Amino acid sequence: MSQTTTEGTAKTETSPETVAPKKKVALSEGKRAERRLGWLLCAPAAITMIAVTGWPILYSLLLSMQRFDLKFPDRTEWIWFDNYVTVLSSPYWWNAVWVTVLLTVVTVAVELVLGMSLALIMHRALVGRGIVRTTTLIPYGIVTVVAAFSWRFAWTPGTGYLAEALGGDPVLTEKIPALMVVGLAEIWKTTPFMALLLMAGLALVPDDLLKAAAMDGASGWQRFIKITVPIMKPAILVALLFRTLDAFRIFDNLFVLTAGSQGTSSVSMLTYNNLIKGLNLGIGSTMSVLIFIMVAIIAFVFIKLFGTAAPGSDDGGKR
Amino acid sequence: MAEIVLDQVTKRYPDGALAVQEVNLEIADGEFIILVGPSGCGKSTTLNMIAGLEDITDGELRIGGQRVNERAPKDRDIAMVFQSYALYPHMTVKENMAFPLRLAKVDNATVERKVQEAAEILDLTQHLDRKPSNLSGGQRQRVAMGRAIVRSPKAFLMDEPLSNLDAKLRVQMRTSVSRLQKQLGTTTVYVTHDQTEAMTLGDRVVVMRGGVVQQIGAPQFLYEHPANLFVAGFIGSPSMNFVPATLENGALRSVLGDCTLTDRVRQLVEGSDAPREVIMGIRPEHFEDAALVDAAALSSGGKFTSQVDVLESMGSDKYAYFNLTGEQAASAELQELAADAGADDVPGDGISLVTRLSSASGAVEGASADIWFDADKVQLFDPSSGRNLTYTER
Repeated sequence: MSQTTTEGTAKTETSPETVAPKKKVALSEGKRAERRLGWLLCAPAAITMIAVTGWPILYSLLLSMQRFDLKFPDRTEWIWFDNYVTVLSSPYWWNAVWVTVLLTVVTVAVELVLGMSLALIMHRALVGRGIVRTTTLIPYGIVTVVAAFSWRFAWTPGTGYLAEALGGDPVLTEKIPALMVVGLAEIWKTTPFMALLLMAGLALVPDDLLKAAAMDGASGWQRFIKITVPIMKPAILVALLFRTLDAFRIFDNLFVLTAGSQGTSSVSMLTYNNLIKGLNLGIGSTMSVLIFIMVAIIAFVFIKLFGTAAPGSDDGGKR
Repeated sequence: MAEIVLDQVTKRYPDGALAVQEVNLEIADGEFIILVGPSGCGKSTTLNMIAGLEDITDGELRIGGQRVNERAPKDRDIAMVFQSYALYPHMTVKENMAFPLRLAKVDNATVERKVQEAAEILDLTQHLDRKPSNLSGGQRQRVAMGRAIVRSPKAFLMDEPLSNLDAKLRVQMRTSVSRLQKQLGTTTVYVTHDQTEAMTLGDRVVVMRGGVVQQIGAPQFLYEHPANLFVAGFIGSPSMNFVPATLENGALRSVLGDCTLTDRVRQLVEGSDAPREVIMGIRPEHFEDAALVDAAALSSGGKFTSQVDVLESMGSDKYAYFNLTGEQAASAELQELAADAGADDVPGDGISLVTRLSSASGAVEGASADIWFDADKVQLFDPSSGRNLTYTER
């Protein structure tokens, strides 16, 4: 949920800035009324946003600066950044960070390649277009927890066909194989989503451009790399941003498949264990604030560094 | 540089629709040829088949004497200009024009030189570092042309390259396209639905209808000797007038009055096994105010009197529009032409007639006028087949 907050606030902050220079010229009565109406119309949405996202964020911040363990409610006290020191010097936290980053990078990279291939197939399919699209989207239509349970049974020796096929080793009980299974489940589950976003991007590439490139002497691969990819870059970035932020918050697949055992906890898993299972509101909130910051950095990097402007503008796609 | 030969080229889509039917066309080296016709006539499909963007169902396409049916577009060495210009939005003007050369792995110095040359010809030198989105329509069109000319291909294919420009710019670009083609001397196939472009640009014009070639010839020849009703109605602006008429003992009866066929016309009609009921076609400029015609011509031509519906004075001459009572000439070709021009939506019954009179004419809007027409310029058509009964090769 936190990434919607960062996006939302970023937008409301930048839009008045870009309009501001024009405002320096004296406003006519009509323009002023129009602006007032604009603010009035935005107000309900803005207030709702602040109530449901602004306040919880602030509240977590406040909690993260207190010793606040529901098991010892009497010892609650204001300790400023001690919780941050505790978390950031904990090997469990850093292990969780690396597990999360590894899972994010690997799954998103594989999903991008697979998703692009699927998108191209769905985009170009001449026969049975409907069937191709439907079958591709099936994994995305299954509830994650249900899918995760079926993966768990499949990998459990004795009940699962996948475990049997690989010689009956209990793969979910060792760190690296377990992470690979989790990654596989993630990829299987969310590649269709990636493909869907990328297919929307493919539709942005005019047919005439590809024909022109073919006439200019480009092979199929060259057309894809030199024309299709640059033109659909905004769509690729949006898909990557969505999936990266999503993958970074990985929880349900891990919860069902390993429950964070053998050092396979992600940051979300660790936060859950501290906050809900351990009832340690202080440490748990500190972790969620840290996740919030990391997610915000990812979003910032995507939007500022890579640029999400439409291709063709002279500023090279950077804002 | 090469000649392009279409030998019985046919395009049939998988659903059985016949888009292009047995087109035979020999385009000479350096020739500027125009494919023209209403939308859906197969002209763009024909062009795409030459380009290699559509497969040829049947027949053979030869470029420079070699069969190229099975070759990919990139191996045919032809360049194409699209109606949408198809400029790559993420590349600058320079990169756009250099793209085909870069793909061909031409060395940097040559790319630089060729792009510079093309930019000079097309007056794009100061725009080389801009993106297409920051260019005007005319500039984008020129970049598209530039991308086509940089690699000196065997032929240019142009798919309605001017139809996205506004009217004034289109006239301007028309002359520059023509000049450019003369200058480069490259074989060019140009598709348009605009008969004015067809008349003014090409060495030869191919008129198509429903996937079938109607007539091939020099613009002036098509204008003077249309092979059938469709070509007669399509070429020329304002278009030819069509009136139902009856042939009787060498005389022609119609709402435009009776007139005797001239010897030339009579010979042509007799040689072509004409039916009794015909459609008479006559171009606006072959009418004249009867008061301005000398007696000898007056007696040999036809004459009618009617009220001037609308009079448009163009300065050099006057267009007088008449609405005559009677049945409109009916034929499939004329219906299709009317549909293409959007004229079938215009209400009105009776025969509408456009005449071009000399500026000295005293015709007045709303008043009755005596109008003469040149009987020797009359073209007669068979209403059932659309064939021109007065067609002659000369």
